[in-house]
Amino acid sequence: MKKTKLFALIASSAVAASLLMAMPAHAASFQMTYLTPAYLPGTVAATERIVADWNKANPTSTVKIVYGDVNNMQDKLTTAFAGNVAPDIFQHEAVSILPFAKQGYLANLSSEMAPLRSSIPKGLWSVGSYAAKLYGVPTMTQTYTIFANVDAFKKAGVAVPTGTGTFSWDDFRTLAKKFTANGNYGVAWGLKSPAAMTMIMGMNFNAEFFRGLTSGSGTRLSINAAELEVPSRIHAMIYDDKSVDPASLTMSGAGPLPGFLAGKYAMIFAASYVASDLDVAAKAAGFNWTALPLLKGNTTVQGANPQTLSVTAQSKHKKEAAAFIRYMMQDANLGQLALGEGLIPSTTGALAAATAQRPGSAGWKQLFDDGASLGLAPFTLVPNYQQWKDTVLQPAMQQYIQGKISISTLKQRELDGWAKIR
Amino acid sequence: MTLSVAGQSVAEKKRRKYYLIPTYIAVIAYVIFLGFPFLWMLSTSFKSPYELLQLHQSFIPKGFYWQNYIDILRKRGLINSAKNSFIIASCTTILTTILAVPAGYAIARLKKIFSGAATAWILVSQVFPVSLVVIPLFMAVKRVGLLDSIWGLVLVYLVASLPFALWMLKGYVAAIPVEMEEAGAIDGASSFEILKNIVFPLLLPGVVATALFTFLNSWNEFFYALVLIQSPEHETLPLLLARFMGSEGQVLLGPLAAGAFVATIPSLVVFGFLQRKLASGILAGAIKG
Repeated sequence: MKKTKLFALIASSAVAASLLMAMPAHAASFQMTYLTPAYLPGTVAATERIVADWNKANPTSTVKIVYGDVNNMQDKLTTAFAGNVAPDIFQHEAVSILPFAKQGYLANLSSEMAPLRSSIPKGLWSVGSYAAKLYGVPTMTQTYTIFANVDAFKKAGVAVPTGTGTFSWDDFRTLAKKFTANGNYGVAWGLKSPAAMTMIMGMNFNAEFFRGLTSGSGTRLSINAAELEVPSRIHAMIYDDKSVDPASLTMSGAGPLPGFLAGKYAMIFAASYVASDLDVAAKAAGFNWTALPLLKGNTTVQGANPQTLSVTAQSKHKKEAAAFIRYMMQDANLGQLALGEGLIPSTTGALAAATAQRPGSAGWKQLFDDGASLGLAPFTLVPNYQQWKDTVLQPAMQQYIQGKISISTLKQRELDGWAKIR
Repeated sequence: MTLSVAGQSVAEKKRRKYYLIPTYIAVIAYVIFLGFPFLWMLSTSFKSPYELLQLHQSFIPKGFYWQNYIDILRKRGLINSAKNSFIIASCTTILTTILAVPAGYAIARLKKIFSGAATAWILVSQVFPVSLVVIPLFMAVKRVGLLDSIWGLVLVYLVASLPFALWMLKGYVAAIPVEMEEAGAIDGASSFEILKNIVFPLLLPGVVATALFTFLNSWNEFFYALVLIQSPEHETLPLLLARFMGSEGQVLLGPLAAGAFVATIPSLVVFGFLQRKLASGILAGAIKG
């Protein structure tokens, strides 16, 4: 009897112990890290609100925000991967995650993000993918667009162009000339770093730049009329029409904004994120702005390099990290994040949510409508593209824009530079 | 004769006074030139986002927009970052000075072969670019368990600061005549007494200059901190301030200026304190020497 009791006691203790040991495995809580370069007040507030909501709803798999510096994300991630201390989730840009995907540092999110696929344009989905696997979920992106001072248009009796695919490069040139009078320039264009913009806008004229991407025989740079169309047009506006303020040529993208707000120009060419600053001016002083339809050459297509969310291969909680990304991608969350950045959200639902938050703004409506024109820029997939763009195209294009070299020299430098890098 | 000398002296004094006027004007102009960016930063820190978007910026802000300061102090964790930076810079400075003073003295005074080898080694250690050493350094810091720790950063800054501190102090020690030490020895002073009473007072300005240099370098360092620090609670000031700048020239100018202004205060205080020592050190050396 005693033996039986003792056996029962030991057995029940063992069962209890094994249960106790097993229980923490299910109930164990952990914290994931989310590295984000968010810095604008609207985006920081949105990110913190989303993470707080997630943590409240998921107390066993919480997220800790780690803020990174947008200009040094690549260095930060490179060392973090090398040291095996990478964050679980991170936000970066599509072109820059490509090398990490190739080196196996990122988790394949294809199946985890399958529910989102139908709501993201095919082109954007492709930008975050490598070898048919999704490594970066596209969240939001920018377009290059023309912002207009509506009051200046009204004063000049010029109708503000609206719609989609209705505003050509020739129309833009005519408008710029029309507003160039009495010592004022029609347009200001921050062309300090023109390389990426000229390539992306080149897609309006079917510029390809690199051929043989899938031939296996190596990628070839080819510069023809289509590839030179955009730089030639910009050059003509600066030097033939004299409708672009030369002072703006050495400014960064948002540099001409103060002059635009002061009524110095009727239009500025800039990336869509400028809209958040224009909102500040509209609120403070009633500045009446809008965005014009995307420029049309043969098409209105622009290459996209969206912000992406990725899960690292080093993460011990890939499923939960993917679930957090899906949470961030919910319409209201993504819409709020995109508005904070002044960017265009990638999903149709988030576009609608963001539009609803800016009722009555023709400018924002136009920007959100433009999202449909964004697609994959094939040249971003070319190995060494970034190096060629930064070390060859950028200085050559700057010199061309400043009138120091001819179009044929520009072409030659691009080709020679690629031959050296390749 | 005395009168004439006295008369000459008064005339000379007057002439000197007139000569001093352009000197003072030049000094004042130089101070304004140096101080203007600082004052402009202070002015910017009180401007609203809309005012900062204006084409013509005024030196005096239209109003005092305190939100920039509230943002950086309450929402962005500036106090914590400043505390981290101060601890790191102070510890690095103290450790560097403690190690560099005797080492610099030894290199300057010991036989030429050793001195030459040590100097060459210091030079060699400085020729590698940061980008080349950062990943091995990262792995080493990780291996000793100091990744994402302010003490790891102190260790790295100490290693990075020592060569230049040694180089500076070696020069200061070499400038002190050996004959002074020999005179002390003839008077019966022990080696320690010579160092304490003769060498160190004369070396003090050099030590202060080296300490200042080390402190400012550690206070401003960005890249190692970027790579080695992961958690927001261990973030240093340069990392925090960099986050006010976006891509394509975007910048949150108001909070950045407010943060930069607050960040400047501790280094100014340290400089003000040590600068007095710098001057008094020179005098102390002269009198005791």
